[in-house]
Amino acid sequence: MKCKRAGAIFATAALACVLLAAAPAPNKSALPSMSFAAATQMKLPNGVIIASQPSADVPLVGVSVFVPAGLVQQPGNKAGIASVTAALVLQTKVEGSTTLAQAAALAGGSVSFTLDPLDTRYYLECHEADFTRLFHELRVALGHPDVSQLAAQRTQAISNANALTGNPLEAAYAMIRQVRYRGTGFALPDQGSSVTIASLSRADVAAFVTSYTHGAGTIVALEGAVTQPLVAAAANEFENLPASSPAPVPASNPVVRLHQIVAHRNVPAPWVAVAYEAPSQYSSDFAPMLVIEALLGSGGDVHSFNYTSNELAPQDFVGAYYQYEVSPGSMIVFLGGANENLDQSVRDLETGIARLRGDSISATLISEAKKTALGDYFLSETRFDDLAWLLGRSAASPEGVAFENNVPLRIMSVRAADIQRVARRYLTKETIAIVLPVSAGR
Amino acid sequence: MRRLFLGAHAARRLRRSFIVSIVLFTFAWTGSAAAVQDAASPQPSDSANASLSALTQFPDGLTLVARRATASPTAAIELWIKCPSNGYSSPRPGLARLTALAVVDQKAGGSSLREEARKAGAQIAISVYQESTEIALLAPAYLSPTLLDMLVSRALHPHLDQAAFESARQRLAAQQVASMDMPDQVLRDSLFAQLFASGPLHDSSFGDPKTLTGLTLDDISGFAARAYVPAQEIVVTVGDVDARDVSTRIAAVAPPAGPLQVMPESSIAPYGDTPVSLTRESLNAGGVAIGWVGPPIADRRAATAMDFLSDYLAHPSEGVVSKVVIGADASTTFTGQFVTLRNPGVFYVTASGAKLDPMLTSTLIRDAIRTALRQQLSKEEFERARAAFITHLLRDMQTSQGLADNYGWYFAQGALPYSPSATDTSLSGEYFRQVASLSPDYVYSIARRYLQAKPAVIILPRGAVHITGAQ
Repeated sequence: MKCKRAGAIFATAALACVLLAAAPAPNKSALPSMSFAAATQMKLPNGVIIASQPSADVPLVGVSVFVPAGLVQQPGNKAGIASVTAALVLQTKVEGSTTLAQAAALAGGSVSFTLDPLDTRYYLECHEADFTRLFHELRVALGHPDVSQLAAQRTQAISNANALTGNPLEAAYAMIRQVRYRGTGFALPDQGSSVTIASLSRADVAAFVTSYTHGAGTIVALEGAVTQPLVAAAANEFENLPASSPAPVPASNPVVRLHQIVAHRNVPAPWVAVAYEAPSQYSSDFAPMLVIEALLGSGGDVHSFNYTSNELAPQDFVGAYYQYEVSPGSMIVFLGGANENLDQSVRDLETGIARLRGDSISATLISEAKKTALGDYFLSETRFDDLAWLLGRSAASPEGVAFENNVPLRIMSVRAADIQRVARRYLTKETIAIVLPVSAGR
Repeated sequence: MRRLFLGAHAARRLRRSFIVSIVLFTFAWTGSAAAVQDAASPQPSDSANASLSALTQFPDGLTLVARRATASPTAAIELWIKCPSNGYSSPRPGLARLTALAVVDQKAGGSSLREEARKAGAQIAISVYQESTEIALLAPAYLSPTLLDMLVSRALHPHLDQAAFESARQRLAAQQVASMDMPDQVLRDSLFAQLFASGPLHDSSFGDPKTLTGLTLDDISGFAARAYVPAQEIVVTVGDVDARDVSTRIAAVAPPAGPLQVMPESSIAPYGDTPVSLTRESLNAGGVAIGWVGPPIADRRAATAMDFLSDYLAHPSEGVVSKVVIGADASTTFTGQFVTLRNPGVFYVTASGAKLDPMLTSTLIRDAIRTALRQQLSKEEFERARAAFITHLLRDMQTSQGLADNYGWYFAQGALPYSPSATDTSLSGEYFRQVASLSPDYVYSIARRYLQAKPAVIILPRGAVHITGAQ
C-alpha cells in the first residue's frame, strides 16, 4: 500500500504537478527519497471528497471533516457564529444525555474543532472499533447542533473572547487582519466580540449550518488504521448532503499602502507584528515563500494561531508566521517580549528583508534554508490530526492528494532568483501592529 | 505510567531565534558525518513480540531496536543511556545532564551534533531522567541514515573537550533558572526528594547552581567513560527506516565494550503524610504534590494495574480526580502518573495555579482518590475504562517519537520486552497481555495495597515564605 522511494511514482507526481498546477518543475536530481504514505481520494456524486491514507502502526483512526464555512464567511455583524456553532456541535447529545464530546472521551478518544479561514475543521480520533459509531454521531451533530445549549455557549464564548482580547499576540494578529482582510469575516476576531456574540440567535446558528451543508467543499480525510469498510462507512454518512455549492467566498479589499496601528494592553513589554502579503498554499510561489519563512526564522507552523476547542492561545511567539490557508496569505513577523531588544529586532528585520529582495543571499544560506523548510514541513506532520489536515488540504488542491508530496519537491527546486522574485513581489506595503504596555493613568 | 514527559520534545511551536538564519548563518553543510565500514556481527534476537520491530544485541553489549512506522515520513532516532543523573559515587546532582549537553555541543569537524541537526532540518532534544539520559533526533526520514551515523559516532562513546564543557555549563545554568519557574517540576523534584532518602531518585536531574559551580571537564569525562558504554546503551530508530541498514551502520562504529556499572539504589525515606512546605521566590503559583510508592517493574501485573489506575484517576481530561480538581478551578494545572521504575515505582499527582490554595487542594485530591477507590469498579465501568486506557496508550504511541520513547524508557528500567511499544496492530506483546489480564478485583486490591498507604505531601504556598521542609 505504501509508495516509498519509488522513482516512477515521483516522476509521475512531478509530471502531474507541472501539468496541473503550473508550478516550477521539480529538479529530479535533488529529490529527497521519501513521500507520505500512499493516499487515495474519491468524489461522491454530491461533491463530497473522501480521502484516505492508511497506515498500519496502531489500531487508531483519525479523521478530519472540513465543512465549507469558516472565519471568512462569518457575516460582519455575526462575528463568533462559527465558534459558537462548532461548540454546539460538540455539545450535542448523541447517546441519551451523553454529548458528542463526552461519547468520544468515554471511549478514550476525542473530538475537537478548529476554525480555519475558509472552513471549520472537526477532528475525531478514536480506536478503530469505535470509529463507525462516533463518526455517525459527529455527522448527525454537524447537521443538527443542539441549540438548546445556545445560552450557555454564548456565555462561554464571551468569556473566551474577553480572555483573548487581553493577549498581546492575538491583539496584534487581529489588528493585522483587520487591515489586510477588510471586507471579509477574516477581518473580525476569531472569537467574535461580546456584542456580536450576545446577539446570536438560534436562527443565526441555523443559517450558519445551512451555509456549510453542501456537498461541494465538504472533505473527509482519514488517517491511521483505515480499511475499505471504514472508508465506505464514511462515504455513506455524507452521501445524502445536497449536491450544491456554498456561497462564493468574499474577497478582501487590496492593501495599497503602509499601515501602522497601535493598541495598549496590560503587558510588561511591547510587541510588534509586521505583516506582508504572501501567496496562498496552492500558488506557484508557495514553496519560495516557505524558504523565505525559514530564512526569516519560523516561530511556528500555520496552526499556531488557530482558534480551537482544545488549545490555548499562544503566550509567546517570536519569529515568522506564515498564514497560507487564506488568499491572499500573510507573512507576519512577531517581535517583542520581555527578553528582546525591539529596536534592534526591527532593524534586523529591515536588513533581512532588504537582503531577500537584493541579490546577496549566498547559495549556502539558501541551501540550508531549504533544508530547514523541508524539515519544518515534514516535522509538523507527525500526529494523525496534522496528517489528516494536510491530506484534506491536498485533496482540495488542483493536484489532489499528490500535492503533499509535491510541496517538498518544489522546496528542493527553489533557486535564488525565485526568492528574490517572490520577496520583491510580496514583501512590500507592510502593515505594522504595535502593542504597548498600558501606561500609568490609562 | 512509563516515563516522565518533561516537554522536551515540542515538535510544534518551537520558539526560534528570530532571523538567526539571515544574520548568523556561518557554517557550511558538511554532509554525512561517518562513513560506513565493515560491520561487526550483530546477533539478532526475537522481535520483542512485534512483527514491525527488530531487536538486535551487538557483541559489545549495545542494544538496538529498529521499528518501521509509516504514518508520517519522519523518523525518531534516539540514544538512551542507563545511568544515574547524580553520578555513581558521591551525589553530584546535574552531572548526567551536564554531560549530555556537552556531548551534543562537542564539535567535530568544525560543528557540533546540535548544529549539524539544525542545519539538516532536524530537531534535537536532550532529556535527562534520574536513571537515564536520552539524546533524541527527530528528522525527515530521508535524513535518518546520515543522522544515525552522526549520532552514534559522536554520542555512543564521546570524547569531550573544554569548549563543550563550557557551553554545556552555560546551558545547564540557564535550564536550572528556567526549571525553578516551572511549578510542576519544582513540586515533582521536591516530592521525590521526600520519598527517597538517597540515590538517583532523591535528586533533581537539573542539579543545583552550587554543585554546577564545582563540576569540571574531568568530572563529565569520567562520568561519560563509565556511563556511555555499550552494555548500558540502546539505540532506537522508529519511522520509515530500514532495520538492516540501521544495524549495519551501528555495527560499523563498534564502540569498545566497557564494564557494566551498577545503578545505585534509591532508598525509601521514612516519610509521613504531614505536608512539607516549601517555596521558591521566583514562583507566583501555589501548588501541591502527593506521591505514593508503588510496585516495582518486576511485578509486571501490579505495575500495569497502577498504569490503569493512573489513567483512570489522573488522565489529563478524563481522570476522575482530574475532573474534580479542574472542576473546582479551571485555571489549575493538574498532572498525575505512575512512573514505572525498577524498585519501587511511584504514583504522584501535582496541582498548581496562581489562585490555588494548596491545603484545600490537597484535601480535595485525597478525598477524590478515596471516593474513587471506595469500592471496586463494576464490570461494565471497568471494561469501559480499560478500553479507554488502551486508546489513550495508542494515542500516545501514534508518532515515531512516542513509540521510540517507550522503548528507551523500559530499556533503562531493565524491562525492554515489557515496553508498550513492543506490540502491533493486534495488540500482541507482554504489556498488552498484562492489560488484558487485569480484572476489577485485582485492580482494586492493588489500589488498596498501594494507594491507601500514607502518601508524601509537598506544599508550595503562594507568596514569600521560608523553606521549612524538603531540600
